[in-house]
Amino acid sequence: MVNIPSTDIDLLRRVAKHDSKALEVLYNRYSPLLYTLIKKMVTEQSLAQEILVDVFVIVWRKSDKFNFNSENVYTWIVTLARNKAADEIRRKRFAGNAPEYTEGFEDNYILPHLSPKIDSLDLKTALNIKGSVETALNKLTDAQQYVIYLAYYEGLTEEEIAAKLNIPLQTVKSKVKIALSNLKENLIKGDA
Amino acid sequence: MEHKELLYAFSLGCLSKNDFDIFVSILENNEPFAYEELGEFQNLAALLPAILNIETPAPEVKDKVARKLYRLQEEIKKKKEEEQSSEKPLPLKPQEHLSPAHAISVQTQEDISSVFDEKVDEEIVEVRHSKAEEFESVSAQAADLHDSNEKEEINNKTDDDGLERHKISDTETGEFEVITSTKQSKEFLRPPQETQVRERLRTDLSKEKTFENFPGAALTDNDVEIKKKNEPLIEKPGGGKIITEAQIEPKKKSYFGTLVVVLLFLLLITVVAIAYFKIMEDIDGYKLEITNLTNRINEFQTKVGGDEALDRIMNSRGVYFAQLSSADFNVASDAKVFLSGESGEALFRISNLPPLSGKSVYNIWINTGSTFESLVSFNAEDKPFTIGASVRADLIKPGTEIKITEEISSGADRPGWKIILQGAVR
Repeated sequence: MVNIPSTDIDLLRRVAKHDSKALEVLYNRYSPLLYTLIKKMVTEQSLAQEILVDVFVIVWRKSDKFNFNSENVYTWIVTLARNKAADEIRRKRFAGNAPEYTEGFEDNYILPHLSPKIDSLDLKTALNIKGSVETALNKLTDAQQYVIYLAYYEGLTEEEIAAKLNIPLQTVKSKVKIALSNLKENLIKGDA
Repeated sequence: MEHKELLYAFSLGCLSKNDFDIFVSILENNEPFAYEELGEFQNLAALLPAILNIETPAPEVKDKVARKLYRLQEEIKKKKEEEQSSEKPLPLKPQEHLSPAHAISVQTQEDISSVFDEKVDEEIVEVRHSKAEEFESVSAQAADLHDSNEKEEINNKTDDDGLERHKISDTETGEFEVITSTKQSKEFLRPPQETQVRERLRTDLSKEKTFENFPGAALTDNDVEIKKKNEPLIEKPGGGKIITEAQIEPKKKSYFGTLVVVLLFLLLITVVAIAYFKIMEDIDGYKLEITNLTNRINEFQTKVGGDEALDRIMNSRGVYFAQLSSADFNVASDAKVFLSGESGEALFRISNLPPLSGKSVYNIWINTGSTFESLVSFNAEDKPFTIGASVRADLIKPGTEIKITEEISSGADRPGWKIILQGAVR
């Protein structure tokens, strides 16, 4: 039995020192959320499982690249999983024209570039406020929700969204900005 | 600030590659930027999946992670070993052949060996064993010992005098030392020979079950011959002739072997015969099935053709119907006629016609008012079938008489006396 009631950041510190038990705890803690996210993006179950495996292998190999001062494992690992799944989607879409998947590519485009000034966030907190997030999201217009969906879950770039919706790129940029800003406002108001 | 506009799309992961690269370079160069705001939006985006209905991945995914990490570790180790070997291009020493055993004991101490739960640990051990099997028989020896739960530690040491000492401690037999000559190995133990010798060594180990009489890792072919010569002699019960155990063994084996070969041969013949009859039976069955299927296909094609015509008729205007029956109650023949006043098409569904006599055919007639007009002639079939014909549109009206008669195959210009079925359009 694993007996490590550790915080996310403690676990990742230990993973960075190649403590496999810590990785197991991290897996047990995060795999349902990450799997749900990845499956939502790629839809295919077996592919989602493969990506999930890859994500934890990346965590194992690259956890030393995490900025431990930020203390935000949640956003790092969720963004990592989302980037990995988005990359898979894009590779399918590009069908052979995708850039080669190298260590450099992984470091640059898959590993998250978190802001050095990011608030700490862990899974427990995220799940505690999920109701507020849902409410805040539901308050957005359908168009704003759809733009967020296309960008986050379908892995489309702003240009691709513009092409898909047949609207100007600037409109998409503006919608992305307004959607996120409103989401943030709604969340703050909801919490208040 | 123009770059600030990028932070929203960056947080949501939808920047184009160019914009992404620009944005990342800003972050990496620690240029002045709204980092707090970026952090807020990155957290916000990461909260999006939290509202999804959480689904747990299958348990085997965890095992896959463990296996992948193990493979990764193995690759790293292999690379390191390759690097080390490229740095020290020394000739192969016998002790290096014992590396799988070493590897097994080393691996169990590695942090990755304890990846995840016990089940996964077992799988990893299995993988290690399979890896070990790839090596020579001496590796198998190590793996066997490992499997039988005999805790064994092998410490290898090479002296300056060219003698290599393998210290082996075992829970059953205590500690002992095997000394081999590195020089000799280098000279004589080319890979195939070395494998053979070590295979014998392994066999001896399993036979004797003790390490006290261990013949030595440097056992050569000459040693084996000497050993054969020194094998214990036993007396034959009746005579004074003395033979060795080695002489008795082959006779028993050859008799038993012949018996086994004969039995196997008989078994093989029986199996082949059974298989042959079974295959023939299957072929007959398939032939029958093919015939049935062909018949069914023909029926189906007829039916489909009829159904299409019927659909056309039923979907046209001026649909009429006629039921033809026999005047003879003993005849079970029957025909249903569907007629389209619009297209002048008629469809006859006929069943149970009696067999034709000699060279005759059936003929369908329709009454034009003054005479009968031939519509179509056909041969009888013993099963229901459908046949179509064209009819003058003005004849398709209630009361028009239709007959099916038997006629000579050369044809007739009016209905003969042998009326099989008749009826009128309704």
